[in-house]
Amino acid sequence: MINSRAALRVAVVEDQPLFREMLLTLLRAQPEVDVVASADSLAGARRVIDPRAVDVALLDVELPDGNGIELGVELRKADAGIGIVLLSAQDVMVSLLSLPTMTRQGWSYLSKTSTTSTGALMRALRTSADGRTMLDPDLVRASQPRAGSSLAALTERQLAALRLLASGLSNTAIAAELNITTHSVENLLNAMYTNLGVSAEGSRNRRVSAVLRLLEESGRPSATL
Amino acid sequence: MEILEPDARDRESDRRVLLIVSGALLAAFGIGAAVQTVFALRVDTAGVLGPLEVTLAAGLRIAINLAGVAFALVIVGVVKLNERSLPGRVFWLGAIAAVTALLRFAVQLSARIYDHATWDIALTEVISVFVVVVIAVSIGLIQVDARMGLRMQERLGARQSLRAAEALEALATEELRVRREVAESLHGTVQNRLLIAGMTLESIIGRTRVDDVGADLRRLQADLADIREREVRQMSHLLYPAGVSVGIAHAIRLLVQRIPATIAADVVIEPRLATGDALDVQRRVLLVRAAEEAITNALKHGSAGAITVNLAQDTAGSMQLSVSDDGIGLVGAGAGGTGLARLSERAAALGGTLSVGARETGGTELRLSLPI
Repeated sequence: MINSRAALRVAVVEDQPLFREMLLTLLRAQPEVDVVASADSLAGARRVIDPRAVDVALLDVELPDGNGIELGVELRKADAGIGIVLLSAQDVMVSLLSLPTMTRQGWSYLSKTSTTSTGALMRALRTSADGRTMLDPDLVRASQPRAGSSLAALTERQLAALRLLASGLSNTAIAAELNITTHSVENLLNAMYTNLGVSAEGSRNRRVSAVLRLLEESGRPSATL
Repeated sequence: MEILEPDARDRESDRRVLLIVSGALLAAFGIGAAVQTVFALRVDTAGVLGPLEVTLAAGLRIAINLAGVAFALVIVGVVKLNERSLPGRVFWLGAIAAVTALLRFAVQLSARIYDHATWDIALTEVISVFVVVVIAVSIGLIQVDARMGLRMQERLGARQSLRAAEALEALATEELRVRREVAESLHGTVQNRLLIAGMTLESIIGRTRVDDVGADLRRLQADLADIREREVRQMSHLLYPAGVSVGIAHAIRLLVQRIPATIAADVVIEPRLATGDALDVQRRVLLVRAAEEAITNALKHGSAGAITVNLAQDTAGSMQLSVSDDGIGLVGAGAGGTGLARLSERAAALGGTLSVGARETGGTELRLSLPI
């Protein structure tokens, strides 16, 4: 959990030099962000990152000496409150499904193309730091519910609401997007949870479960293997 | 070289063979000579003895001969004649044969088998026994040497097979390593540079005020994105399946994710495997490739509407992969083709089995069982 007035303490792990520089420049330009550490490998990250001094870590999934997911799990073990944002040049969002059930909230996923938009990047960082889950908005928009899945049985509005939720929007923001009241959004989401069979164990867990279900039961419209 | 040298068990077994062969030959000689002497050569020239006494005479000679055989065999065994080199063999065989011959003669003398023991008779008896013992034991030694030669050949052959298998294994590992390196550099450098090129174009598009230039740049940008997201990614995946370095569950999920959404797809992975596995790279790659082959076949030839992938680890620790679909099934009797054949070979090399067959409820199922 972070104090909303204090700067967001961010660590960046990215092996491609050009890309890392771009990210660091972008983040340092944000007044509410404090880049406390940066590294270009798993080994480097282990040396320079002190999990307790970081609110959220931005991790490239493909690192030369390992992958960002295992690094994220390590950081989480050291500090359960740290947020993780995974970054990748290809769509490996399903990585989140390989996480131990216990640690699933506070993990977000962003494709590298989306990091150029400061909005999406900042939203991902804040979402994870706050212990919630966000998926890359473009990837979410491009995915389709799989035939025969419970996701395919949702109404258009429920699916739209879920997609926006998965993209990191708050209920208020969803309401603004869909042109309905926040109260209607809550009803819509509850109906969606019921249809998906997501259990009610606290609102945060339900949101995360629904997002992961979106991941699990989606596919490409038409793709080659 | 150790495996080729005879060990204690080999030497024991060789000694047994020597004793059996020599013993059989010596016994045959011994009994045959005694019978011949008494019955055929009519030792009893005077015809004085009755049938019973003749039989007893034969029995006595046989007993003495067999005692001699036993004596010779015991010394051959104790001296371990089969383990000695040629000079040693010659010496000991000569000694054993001589002693056996002399002893036998001495015993026959004291048993009063000879009416008149002249020097001629003595010489004949001793020399003939000497020769018989040498011949019989030599035949035994020849047998043992032949056995040893055959055994060495077998073991050499086995060792060569093992070496060949090890070399093949090392080659397979090296191939995978190279593939992974190339795939990673495609993933890493190439993809990222294309990504950055795309982003640079984006900023250029933002700066241009000329519409058709902007449109052209957009097309270029889309092309680059396509190259990056499809061509480069596919090439990389062909070399080395995506996600394998993270884990088998992840790699399979990435695979299933690419199945078009119009087709129902179910992935059931045992929870224990979902978050981590202890498989080596070769096995992971095989499992992913097998799943990929099954899925591709289902989509291309089977007109499947639903695909299910199951991955579990059985009680013996073996990985069990099953990919089933509800398509029209295998076309023709010849299952699969070169892809499946290659996978089957690879599975066998790793100690597993791959099978593809029609399901009772329709469609096809691929099963891969892989011990770890």
